[in-house]
Amino acid sequence: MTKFADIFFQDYVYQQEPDGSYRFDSTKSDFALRNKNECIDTIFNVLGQIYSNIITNYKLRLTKINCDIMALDQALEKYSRDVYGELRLKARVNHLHGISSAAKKNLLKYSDYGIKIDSTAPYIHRKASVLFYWLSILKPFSIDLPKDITPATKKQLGPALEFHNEYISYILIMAALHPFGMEIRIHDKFELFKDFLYELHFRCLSRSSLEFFLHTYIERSMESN
Amino acid sequence: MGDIYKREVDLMDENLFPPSSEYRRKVNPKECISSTVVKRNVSDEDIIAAVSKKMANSLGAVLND
Repeated sequence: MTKFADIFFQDYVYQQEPDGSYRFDSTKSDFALRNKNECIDTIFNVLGQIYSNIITNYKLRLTKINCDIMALDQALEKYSRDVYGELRLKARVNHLHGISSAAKKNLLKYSDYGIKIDSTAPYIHRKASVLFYWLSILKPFSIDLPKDITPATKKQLGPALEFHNEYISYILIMAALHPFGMEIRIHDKFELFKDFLYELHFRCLSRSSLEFFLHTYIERSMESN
Repeated sequence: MGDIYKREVDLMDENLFPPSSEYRRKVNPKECISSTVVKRNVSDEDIIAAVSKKMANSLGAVLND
């Protein structure tokens, strides 16, 4: 079973070594693929338990997260392409045999290709912003409301109901940052938190605006100091 | 050239603002946290417990009966 800590801020599609380099599959001379099903199962397990704990704290039910697996898979694939595109190119070019180092150097002129994240080792807030972006664009998470839900319960659910996909995405990224001793502090200010989820929900935030914003709000967590 | 152009101050002018000038220095630059992050070996249970605790009040104030 894949550990949650091994899924995020790594390439979701291809296997990487602990140092971040790519693992090649000798049978097809390309990157070895990751077991995506295991990754998705682990994400559901962790997300479901965190959401359930939060909701139970408010003495509410509705602990089940609905997810469009295809949309989540696409979001994680597109996130990996944006963040690891340059690293993938570098690994593939360096793996080529029978090509001179000058030719390889020419192939690795990254700025010629218009890659979104022009770095082989982007800052963690850049990675988080791209993940937020694709989760808000493709919206994999949804909520099924029972018919007998009361207005009081709706009010209590607040942003978890109004902007369910964005709220779950926020939890997901909080969990992804935890192994790095980092956290997002937007939810500390409730009004700001709601505004942030609103902007994400209506797709008002681009990758670059999220980068600028998250740079301020992603901090080292207290327990990691 | 018009008057407006002549009055412009070139912030990159080495004579007006040498490299040591405070106009070129960032005052109290924020520590670049993201470049030094180190991944820890954390179990799924630890992640669930820690994030559940951090997000405990994320739906607003807890309403007690």
